[in-house]
Amino acid sequence: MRHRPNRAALLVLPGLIFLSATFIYPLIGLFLRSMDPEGRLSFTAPRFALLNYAGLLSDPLYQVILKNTFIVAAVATVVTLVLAYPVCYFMSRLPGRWAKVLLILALFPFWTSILVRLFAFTQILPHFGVMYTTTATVIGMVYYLLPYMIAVLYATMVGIDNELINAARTLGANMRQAMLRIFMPLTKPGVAVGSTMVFVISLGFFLTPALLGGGSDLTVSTYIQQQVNIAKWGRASAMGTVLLVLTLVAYYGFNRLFGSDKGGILGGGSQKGVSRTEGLRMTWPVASGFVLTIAVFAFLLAPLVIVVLLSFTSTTYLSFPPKGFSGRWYTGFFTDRDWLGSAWLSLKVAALTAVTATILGLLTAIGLVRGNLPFQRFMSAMFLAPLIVPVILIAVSLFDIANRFHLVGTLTGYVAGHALLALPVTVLIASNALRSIGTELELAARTLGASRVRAFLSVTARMIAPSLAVAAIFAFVTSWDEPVVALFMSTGRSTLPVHIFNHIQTEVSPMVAAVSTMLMAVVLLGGLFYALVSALRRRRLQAGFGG
Amino acid sequence: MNHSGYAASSGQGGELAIENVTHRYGTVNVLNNISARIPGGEFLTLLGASGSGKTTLLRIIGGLITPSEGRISVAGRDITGLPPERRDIGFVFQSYALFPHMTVGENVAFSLSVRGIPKQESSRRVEESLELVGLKGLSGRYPGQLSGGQQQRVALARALVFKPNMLLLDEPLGALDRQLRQQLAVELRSLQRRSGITMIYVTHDQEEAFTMSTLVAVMTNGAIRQMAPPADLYRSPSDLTVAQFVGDLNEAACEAAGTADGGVRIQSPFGPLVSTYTSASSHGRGVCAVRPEHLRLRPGEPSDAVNEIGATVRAVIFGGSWHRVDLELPSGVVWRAEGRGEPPAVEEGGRVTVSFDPERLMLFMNNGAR
Repeated sequence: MRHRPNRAALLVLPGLIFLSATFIYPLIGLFLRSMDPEGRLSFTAPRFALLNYAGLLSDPLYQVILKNTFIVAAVATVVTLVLAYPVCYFMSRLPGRWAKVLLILALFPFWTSILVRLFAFTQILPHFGVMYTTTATVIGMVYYLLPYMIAVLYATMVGIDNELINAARTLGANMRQAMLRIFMPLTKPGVAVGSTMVFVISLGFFLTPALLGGGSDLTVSTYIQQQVNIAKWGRASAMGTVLLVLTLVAYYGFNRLFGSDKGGILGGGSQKGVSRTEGLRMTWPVASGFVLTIAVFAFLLAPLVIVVLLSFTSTTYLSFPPKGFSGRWYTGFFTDRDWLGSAWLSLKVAALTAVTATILGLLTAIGLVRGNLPFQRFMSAMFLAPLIVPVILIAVSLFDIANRFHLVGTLTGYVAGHALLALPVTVLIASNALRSIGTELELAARTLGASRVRAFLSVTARMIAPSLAVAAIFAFVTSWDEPVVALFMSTGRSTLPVHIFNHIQTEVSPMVAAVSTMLMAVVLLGGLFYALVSALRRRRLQAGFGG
Repeated sequence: MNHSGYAASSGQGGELAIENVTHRYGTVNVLNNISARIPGGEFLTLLGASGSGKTTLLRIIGGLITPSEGRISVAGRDITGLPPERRDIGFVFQSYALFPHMTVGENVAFSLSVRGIPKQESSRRVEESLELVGLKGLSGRYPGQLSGGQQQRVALARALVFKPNMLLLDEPLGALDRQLRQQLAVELRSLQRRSGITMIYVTHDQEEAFTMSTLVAVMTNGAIRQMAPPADLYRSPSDLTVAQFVGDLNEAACEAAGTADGGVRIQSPFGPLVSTYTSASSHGRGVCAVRPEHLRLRPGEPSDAVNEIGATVRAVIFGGSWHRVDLELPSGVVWRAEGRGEPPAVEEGGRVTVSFDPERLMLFMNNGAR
């Protein structure tokens, strides 16, 4: 089939230009620096030598760092998988609305600022004597990764028809055999996707080792940051290139190894009037899995509860259990110009990011879905790439470019960085929405006399509006919660996450706990609001269909 | 279909006894104190509308649900608490429940491999049962690559390969098109007759039930209304609900007023009628009913003979091998007459006489007696 792009294809241009400026061009810059013996950047007269890479090979320190990064990532991935698997199994076999409640609880940490989570662990881990060790890093990573793994595995497992297990039982398999031979093989695609995702995220961890692992725990990401700080661009960018290549290899390799599509045709059967728990009898493996599930939920939620408790302390220092009860740290926040200034900056950046990323995302999606572009798959992959590339590389390369154009510390700099991070998701959401409604309705509107633009606005745009709202919220949260790019971009006034980061590193005042609690409250209220709105919408729809 | 090896397994699993089985989801009774005995070797169909409890009963027999109360036994052995894998009962699921990650061959071999049957014998039996269902040579395919009818056959082969002493089927033909349903129903019937294995089949389709079964149990509201061979069920349903469920019905409210002329005298909206329907009760209010194929039509007004009613023709429908005439009876009741071949020489809007034999006039009293 020949590809003849139509006018809609032009709409990818703004997104493509943005992506080139903030992602492709900076990464090429990083690569060129890694090739230059002195780590200098020159697009006009680049020098190509493998000196920096040779350095990586010969210096034992680099090898330790690489090995450390890999082992820590692998251990964190395995632990996350082992914890999430039984939990998801239980959730997937529970009646729908219970599972929904548990899923929301499991994902709550995901919606909580990463710095709130890290702060919680800086307060808890010293009590267990593991602070500033690799163990602390792994615990913090697992905590961060669990919601991702749970979301992916749950989605896979809930799609596995209980009838398949029943079928295995009637054919003579006991519960253990049915699990080993039917259920677990069917979860393989989910395990592969979840593990790849989690492992790739693990390779790029930066804040967690920096705050929990202490100086002793060097990973590739922390090393890159250190080298950039002392302007050793050659080594930093060589290490960055290696990290990028390893990430892509890991991604590709996992997919090749496990990503077979055989299990993709899950028998989505009807289970009319049959309770999903009918096969679940209380035996001891079931009971121990149940206990593990409760333990994992306690692990996910307890740190956040502790932060809330800490925020009401009346002392000027942090101690657990908190002494006294006072709201002084809350009033303190609203009278502190530094904190308020950071919050205001974060709000501005997040709002502008939401607008920018959503508009770019929508235009790009229209171009990709409707434009009949050549290399459509490759283009789509390019727009998703910022999701895979470790955030430290994005941050470092953006910082490099922003520096050249004097954008560091400016609103433009922040928004460009955050919009880049949010763009893949907004493109994805908008593309799915566009694809799911198709063009039929828009064509119907045009046969009724509406112009092309009018038809799009009055039919398609209105139908995808809820999806765009979700995309905007996602972009807002991405920016609001983003610390790494912001850390490199900030001079003087910093965004809220960076401000918290600096506080955790320097002084430990209960103010951070109060700020964290307020951030969680905002997420909680937002979630409640969203649930309320969607419940109302559902009711209205049902009423509309006379159901 | 070939059936090598299956005739030998006839001898059946013995009588299946369902004793006082009640099942609740929360506070809702899905099954209400059901008792039934099904002799070995029967093809029993549980026939009922959705929500009648037929699938729940089937799952209880298969061990997928433990009943809230009651007992299930096979050949005198109580199996109520036995897990499904120890019941030796084959189950064909509505969704087929084929393992999507295994080939057809692996699916069919599954029951043999968990039983530790050697590879060689296993593959021989897999081939044999795939041949039995007409799928020879497809064992390397994945379920996703098969048509609905083929998937259904794989499910059947998989449930039969370990020679269970009973086979349970939960609306296995529901997802297929009409022609294929009929074909597979006939195949299933002959498979059951040859092998002599007890089969229990769940459906809401009366035609399917009658095609295959030696026994049909009509279920409503979690209870078995009547269990009988298809012909008995059709000719002498125990109550109006059963009668309505098996075949079409022309109905009218009526009152029985004693016996005369060797039958029950009936007052109907169309004047006096006579019924000699089996064991019809002779007094009280109720409903009388005639099946459409038992109505006779002739042009002109009724005579003095029994069970003749004057009617106006509303529509004459020629359906090829069958015909149907819609009739408006006195007091505006609409009945329907059906028959084979060409429709009788009556005209739309014309007057005709409807008549039927006294033994065809079913009578169901309001108190439940017939």
